[in-house]
Amino acid sequence: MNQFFAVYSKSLKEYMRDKVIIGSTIGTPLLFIFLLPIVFFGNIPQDFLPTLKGMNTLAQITLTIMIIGQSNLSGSIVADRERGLYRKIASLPLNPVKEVLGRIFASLVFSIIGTFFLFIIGYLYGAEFRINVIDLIVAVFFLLLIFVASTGIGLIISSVINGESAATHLGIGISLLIFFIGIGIPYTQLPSQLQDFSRINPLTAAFAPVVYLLEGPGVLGYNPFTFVQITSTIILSTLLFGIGLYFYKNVAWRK
Amino acid sequence: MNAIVVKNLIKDYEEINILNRINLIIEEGEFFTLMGPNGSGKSTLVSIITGTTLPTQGAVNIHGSDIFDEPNKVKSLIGYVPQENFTSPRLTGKENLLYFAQLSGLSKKAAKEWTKVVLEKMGLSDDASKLVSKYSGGMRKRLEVATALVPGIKILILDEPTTGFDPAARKMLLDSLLEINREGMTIFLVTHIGEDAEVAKIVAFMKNGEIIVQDSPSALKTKFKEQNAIDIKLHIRNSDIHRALERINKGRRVIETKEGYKVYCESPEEIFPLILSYLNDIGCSASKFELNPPSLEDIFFFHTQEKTQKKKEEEK
Repeated sequence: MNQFFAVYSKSLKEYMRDKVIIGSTIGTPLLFIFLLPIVFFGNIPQDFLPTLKGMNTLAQITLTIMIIGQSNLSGSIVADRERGLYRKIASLPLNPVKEVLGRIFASLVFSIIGTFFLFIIGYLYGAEFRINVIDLIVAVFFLLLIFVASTGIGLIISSVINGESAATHLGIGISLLIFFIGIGIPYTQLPSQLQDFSRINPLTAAFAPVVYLLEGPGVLGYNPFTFVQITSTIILSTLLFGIGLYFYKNVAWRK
Repeated sequence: MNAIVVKNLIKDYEEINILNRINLIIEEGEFFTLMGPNGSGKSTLVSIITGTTLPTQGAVNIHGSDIFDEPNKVKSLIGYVPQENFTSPRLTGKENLLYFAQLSGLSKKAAKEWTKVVLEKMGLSDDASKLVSKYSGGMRKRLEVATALVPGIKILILDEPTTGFDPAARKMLLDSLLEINREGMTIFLVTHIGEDAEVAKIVAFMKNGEIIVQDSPSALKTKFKEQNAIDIKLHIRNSDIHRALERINKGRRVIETKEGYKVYCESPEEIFPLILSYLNDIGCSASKFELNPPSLEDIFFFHTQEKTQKKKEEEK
């Protein structure tokens, strides 16, 4: 456990001390919480505005989680590899899985900090959420699935990409691409092909139940609680995570 | 007891032979230096000894344990300092040490106690709470050496630790290594800087994946004492003078230095008057002549040149 906590502590400190990471991961979604209602919600009836602000806040929370998993995690792994850390730790009696779990746990804690912060800011800005304990627990479960799938993508990026900048930007690029297909742009506004894609893609498919539960059934435009969607979301998220771990242990660690 | 025993080590990579039947014995408590040019196979040898690369053939024993049969046991005996600056710039010196101590298997409490001791030992106590990004190159390398000194470590392996250092920082690091060696630690230093190798008890030269010579620095200097160097300080340097000096030296090595030329010769008493006469003829006066014994770098150069020459002749 010492090794796990050593890696966790190092990774979290590095995240929290890097202004660029804080800015791109929490700062940008925070800006979107304020900016998007001003730009896009001008003609929306006033009584529907708190719900849209709530949906936007949940979308920005999801964006933060995706950036942490896909960009921050992969960027930090590649940066460590570039400066020879893996050459050093490969000479230690250390299990790669324990090492990466420490990194992932740090990313999870950083995601929780970001989520709380954005949730509170969104709420203070007028976002409305329908919260009861059961729905909240289920919503947190789906947010965790988003984290798990994002982490898997981040681990794959860190294994196949050389260069911190390339890994970080690719992570942000994928996060934004996914964000605009079913998270930032609502399901009902998407063309039918992208609607289908958003129900298969585990990240957008896991975001849908969060909105459905915390903003109400009418907002999302469809019922995501079907056996096929929930099962495929869980399977694909854990599969991405498993592939990520495999790549990390067999490719990233040995590069 | 032998600290490191390498037997018939071969490493091939994509049909290229990187290590060619390396045999090496390093005794416990020895200060061993491995010198070699880039691409000679030094880093590959180190990565096999540290258990991070598998060889094609051969065996490596560390304090009696086979590195491939008991990797974790062996890894807990070796403290490795790679060439790169691997410490995190966003953590303090103390935080970095805690991280590596815990990765090496120490409990948090033991790691904290050890950190205090090792910071003091490496002269970094006053800067322990500074971010590593604020450290100088020398301080950072000393911190990185410290990460490899966790309790239980018996062999310290350093890959070109003084590259890019100014003389003061280099001396400070080498003094620290000598101190650590005096306390009983076996040191395996990889370098291409001759002056670093002078501090070792045993020096080995490596070229094209082979260890071509291995002895103490003083024995090597005695063996190659005929390779003296005449240092000539001149205010004019050009290709004509260079060629003339080579002719006088009968084709032996002459190199241009910052202040003039260095003429390597077996019989300086024969060459010296000829050089003096030539410089008088062309109206160029040397401000300084100095006869120096060969350095380890000189010996290394001569030895590798000789090997290359022999190889070429064999190929012909």
